[in-house]
Amino acid sequence: MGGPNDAAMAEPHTWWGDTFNAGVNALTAATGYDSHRVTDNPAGPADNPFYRDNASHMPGWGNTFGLDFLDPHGLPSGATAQDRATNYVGQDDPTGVWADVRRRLVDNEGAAINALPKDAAGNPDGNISFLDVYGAHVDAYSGAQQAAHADGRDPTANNSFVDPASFALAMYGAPLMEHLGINAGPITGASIDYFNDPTDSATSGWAKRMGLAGAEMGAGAAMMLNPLTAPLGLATMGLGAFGGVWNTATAVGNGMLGEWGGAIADGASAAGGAIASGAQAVGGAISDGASWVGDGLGNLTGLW
Amino acid sequence: MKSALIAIALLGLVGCMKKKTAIATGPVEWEPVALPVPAGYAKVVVKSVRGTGPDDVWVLAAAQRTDDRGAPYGLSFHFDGTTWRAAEVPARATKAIWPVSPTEAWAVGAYGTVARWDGQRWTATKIEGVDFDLLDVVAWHDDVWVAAAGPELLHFDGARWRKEAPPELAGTSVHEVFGEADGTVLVPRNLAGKVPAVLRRSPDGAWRLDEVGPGGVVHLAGSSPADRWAIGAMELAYHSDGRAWRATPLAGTRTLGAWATSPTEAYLVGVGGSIQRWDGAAWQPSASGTDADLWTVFAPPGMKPLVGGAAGLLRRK
Repeated sequence: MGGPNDAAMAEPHTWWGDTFNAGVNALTAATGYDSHRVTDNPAGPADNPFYRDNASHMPGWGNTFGLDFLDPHGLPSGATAQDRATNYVGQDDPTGVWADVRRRLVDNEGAAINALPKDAAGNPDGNISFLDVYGAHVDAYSGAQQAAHADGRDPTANNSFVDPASFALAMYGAPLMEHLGINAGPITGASIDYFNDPTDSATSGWAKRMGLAGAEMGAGAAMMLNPLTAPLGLATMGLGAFGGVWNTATAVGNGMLGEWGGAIADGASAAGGAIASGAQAVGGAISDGASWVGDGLGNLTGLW
Repeated sequence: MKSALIAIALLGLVGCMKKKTAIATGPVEWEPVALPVPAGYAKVVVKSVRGTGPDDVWVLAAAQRTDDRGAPYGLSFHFDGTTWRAAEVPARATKAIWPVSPTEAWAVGAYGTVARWDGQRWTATKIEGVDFDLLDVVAWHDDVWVAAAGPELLHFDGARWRKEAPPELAGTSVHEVFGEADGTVLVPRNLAGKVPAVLRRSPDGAWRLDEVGPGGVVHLAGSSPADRWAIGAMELAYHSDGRAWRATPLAGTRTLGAWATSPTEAYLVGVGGSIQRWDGAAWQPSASGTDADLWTVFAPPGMKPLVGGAAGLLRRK
């Protein structure tokens, strides 16, 4: 710690926020993941300060609104979302794919910042765009996976990056949690570990996110039953539908159909029929069976 | 109900696509080594074992603090030929270690962290401007090379860190680096559409590319220029006697670490507790007695081989 924005972006700790995150950590531990900070060790300097140090060049709301009550850090929301993500995600990395993704994100977004107009002192002036950041992520996932294919470290790492609507929800929404006194790090890390793990196959990543999309649609449909929540329900359903279509298209583009070969061809054919009838069925099954999961997962996807 | 069955079928489909793991059967050939884990630590995962000889061996590990449910801390253990001693490694410099002498060793880890052992303690620094993970290290005195998942190596010349990016590495992602006794640096070179290769930097500073063969090169090992290994992720390993590379088949488990003792002895470790031993003619499975992933192996002449991973440290019986 010690960068120009470290104090402003310090993680909030309240009894309710820490209790909430204790629950998140327990859940991720029970499912084989780890949503603690990658570098809690107070004895040394190591965490990733890139998004704090470059916070003023990130996209998202912050001082822009001039509304203190909406403004936990006074810095663009994209900085907070990415700082929490990079410092909480991908603990176990035997093939180095996560390390590669993190490296490429820093390189890509650093290049975008360097390409900004310069002020009188020659420093970058302004903010990179949402599309700069989204494109950096898509490229980082793709590049890291191609590198893992080239040397054989992880030939089945094919999970495509999440759809832009869910990413935007995270970028613009994550800091709101911090305004409420809840450190967004654990749930941000957990949601990426679960739903956007670059080491997943295209099929498994797609299946997870289709479940999520179905849950969002189910939750949205439930909200539609109440006139007061109907607009939010419609938006939630729209998010789920968009995510389902986008993620199916990108998973196919990343070779999902090619993964369905050999001995599982028959099973894949049946699944293909199901897919043709719509991802809604899968999501419906999940949301029917566990509506509480639907609500929880709906929140999770909004954090990345 | 119908949709529930579809979901179950999909989960089954995902399950079918898990990567295969083969565990050696037969008598267990390895036994646990009791490390002096300091009070307050648990769940020790060994990440790297390296040394300059049987009386100067370092084990780098990540361990959980029992009073802190946060991220693991770094621990190191040094063996002087008689006794193991523990020392905390600051700031998660837990990816890789490379000893130079009993009074100098280097460890690397998360977000540009480099730790140096001076014979008494570890001191950590962060390489300025490096906000990504450091994955592997080799070192000689005032001559340190680090792999960092990019198209270059990071080099410390005793005064400052610089990026060294030979053109042969353009477009690649370097995850491993290996060093030979004379100061030669070896790096895997994998690039789509190109024959996998080993990029070699001789002590005079010249880089040379040696094409190896199809399949990819993930790990490097060797006991001399006439005994080099370029090891693929699962299927093939290539051996060079200094003149040509020759392919040898592997057992099909994912390798995570390698060490070559001599032309007739080498070891690979990997997922699911897999260990393979080179006997001069073929790779033979060796039952580790654990199904936990093994990350690292160290087997210099004159001592029993050590392997490490999620099961802690194991020594060959």
